[in-house]
Amino acid sequence: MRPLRDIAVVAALFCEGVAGVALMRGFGIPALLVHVAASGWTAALFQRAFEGRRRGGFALIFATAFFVPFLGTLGLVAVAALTPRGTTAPERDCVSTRIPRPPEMVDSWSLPIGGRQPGERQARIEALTALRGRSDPATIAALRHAMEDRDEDVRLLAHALLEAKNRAAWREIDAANGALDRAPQRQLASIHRRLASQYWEVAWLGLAQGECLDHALGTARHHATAAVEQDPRSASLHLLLGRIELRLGEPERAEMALLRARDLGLPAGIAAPYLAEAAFLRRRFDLVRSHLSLPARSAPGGAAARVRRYWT
Amino acid sequence: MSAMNLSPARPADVALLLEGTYPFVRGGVSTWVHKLIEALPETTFSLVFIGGRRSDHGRAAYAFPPNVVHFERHYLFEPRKDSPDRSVDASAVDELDRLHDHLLGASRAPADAELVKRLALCLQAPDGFARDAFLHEDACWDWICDRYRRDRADSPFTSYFWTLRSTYLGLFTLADVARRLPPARFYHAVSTGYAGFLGALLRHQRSRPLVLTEHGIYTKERMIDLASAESIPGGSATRCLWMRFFQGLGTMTYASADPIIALYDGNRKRQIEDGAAAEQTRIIANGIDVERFRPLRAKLSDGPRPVIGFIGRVVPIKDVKTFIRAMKAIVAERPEVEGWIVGPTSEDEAYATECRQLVSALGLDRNVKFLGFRAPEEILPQLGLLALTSMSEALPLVVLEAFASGLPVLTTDVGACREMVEGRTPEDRALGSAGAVVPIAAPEQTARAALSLLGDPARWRKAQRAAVRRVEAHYTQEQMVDAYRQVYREAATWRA
Repeated sequence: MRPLRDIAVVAALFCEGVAGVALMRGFGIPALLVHVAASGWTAALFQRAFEGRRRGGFALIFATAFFVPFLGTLGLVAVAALTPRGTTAPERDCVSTRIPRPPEMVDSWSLPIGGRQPGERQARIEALTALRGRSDPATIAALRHAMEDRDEDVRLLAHALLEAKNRAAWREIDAANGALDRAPQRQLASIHRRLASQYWEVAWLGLAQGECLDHALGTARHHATAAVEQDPRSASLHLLLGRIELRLGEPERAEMALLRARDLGLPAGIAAPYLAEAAFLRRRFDLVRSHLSLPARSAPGGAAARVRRYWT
Repeated sequence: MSAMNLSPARPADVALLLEGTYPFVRGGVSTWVHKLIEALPETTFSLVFIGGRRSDHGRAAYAFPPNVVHFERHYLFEPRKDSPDRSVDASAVDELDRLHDHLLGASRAPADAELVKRLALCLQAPDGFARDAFLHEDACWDWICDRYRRDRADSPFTSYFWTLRSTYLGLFTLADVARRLPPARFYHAVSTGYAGFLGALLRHQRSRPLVLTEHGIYTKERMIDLASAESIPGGSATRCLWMRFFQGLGTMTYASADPIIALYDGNRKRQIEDGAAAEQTRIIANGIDVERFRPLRAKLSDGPRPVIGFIGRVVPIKDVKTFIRAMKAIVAERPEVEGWIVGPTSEDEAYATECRQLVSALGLDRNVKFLGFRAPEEILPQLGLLALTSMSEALPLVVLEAFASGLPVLTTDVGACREMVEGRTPEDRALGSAGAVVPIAAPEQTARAALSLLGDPARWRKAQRAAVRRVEAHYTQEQMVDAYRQVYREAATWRA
């Protein structure tokens, strides 16, 4: 305790003593007034000692000193003396950053212009900006949704972000196409595999719609088939081809490719959900059950097990 | 900097402040500027072109009309020899701090005319702030370090430092331009941004009025550019600083200009939302020389041709890729249809290359052609439909030119495009639809609308008639020029 505060505490205790003596001599009201003043004085002194900068801090200490005369103040002195005191807070070496509100906290993507709150546009823009680094179907779907926003700035930003993802995907496709033209025979399989994966990604992410989607899937199938011809023992290529065929609505061809992938060593748990989907499209519901049950037993946390849990 | 005194004996009535457009870049704004100068032969013009780097621009794409008496160009990011002997006093650093509070500070101070005037006068004073002092003075280095701490910037110091250098260097270069620019009776900025900032400096330093015409909304377009950029050193914090900077330039321009002109009501409302005083805003729609296009109508009289034209600069904001994707769906249904992309590709070669790659990747090499810049009179009569897939527009001249030629238009729902195609007032709407309007970035809907128009000659002819009537009634060059003549008259007779 610093000397000045020590003196102030002694003064408060002295006042409490004076109030006690006054009370014993029958001076009730002056005693009460001195006690109130001493309690207030104590509360003001100790509020900081207990880091009590909140509004309730003063009231709590005052109440302690007031309702427990003399002993309350003594107790407070003891607690303040025994409590480890914080040193002066060091200068902040960090910066505060604003965290963008997630889209679900924004009431609607399509509020009418008249109902828009100030700052809402900025919140939506920040939410979209937070999606910049992500690349998955949900992100692409959110960006597409934002392109229907009534606010032009939001639409433009969503489009710009989507276009940046498109640009990156098509640039890689173009580079691979260029490499395919110049590639020697031994590299053909890997370049076809690359192209199949890239076109598939365009379709899977949702970067293409309608005729462009059909084109992307058709081209992905072409390259996946060419890659399989070059490297018929690759299980992952057969899996890719199977998934492309499924998306193209060809369950029989998909099933052939997926079974081949399994035969070549692909873990059953990976192929099973797609095989089940192919069986479902072929209306072979008995096969759906068997495809989902087998890997669910062998790999309880796998994708097939999750699909099974969803349906049962 | 380079300057040409084309007619030294004649002082300029108006100094046009142009950023990245006329006379080097072809496009709607440049065409508008050229037509305005041509249509006001009684007014003398001084032109100030502001660009990024000299290498971004080749030869002038327009020949100056005789009433252009002075031309100079400045490049904001061109390296130049500095003279590090200029000192700066503490009060100038305080002014810089105030400018920063307004432009880049975390909680920006609102701009008002008084604040802009103080800054303008400080930048004008011989002992005020200058580019060389900003680059070399210890006081400025200390100031940047101090601001970094006070701003609690999210970016690393190096990114913050270089962003500050890049933003303020441009402004100090413009302050030099303002000191040396030959006098004019008033100033006319054709955007906010750097051109608008230069206009604000001139407005206060010379006590002459500033007219502002915004075709698109500058800050919005910069936001798209910043969002589209795949990587920026310093990441999102740097993007945020640049965005604040452009917004700050916008409000400084709005605080200094009167009148503030928009091409249509949507943009006028946006200007007010961004800080323009409502009573200073005005709408002057674009207009074209309808007579120039009248002879083309006869060539389009035999019905829709299976050619869809995109006319415009091949740049991201025009979203040429949506046009290409729409062509994929159109060709799937009608393999004989061709898509012509007509416009300069030099402004963004990388984007143009991506568009070409997309054409190849979608197997459209036989149907989609890149024709480069062509005169509208040459191209329009060969088309069956004009398609505009832009992400952002104001009131595009190319739509009016198509209308005047008797060509229906398919456009995205941006700017004034819907009111241009479908009409603004009930009487205007009674003229009928001059084409179709589709959402942005919607290739499938664009394709369906195009196929519907091309496959229905009766509807196509109806749209053709509506297009001609609408442009003749509402969007003539005479209406636009008369309105600007009035604005210029008011500005020329303005008293401080």
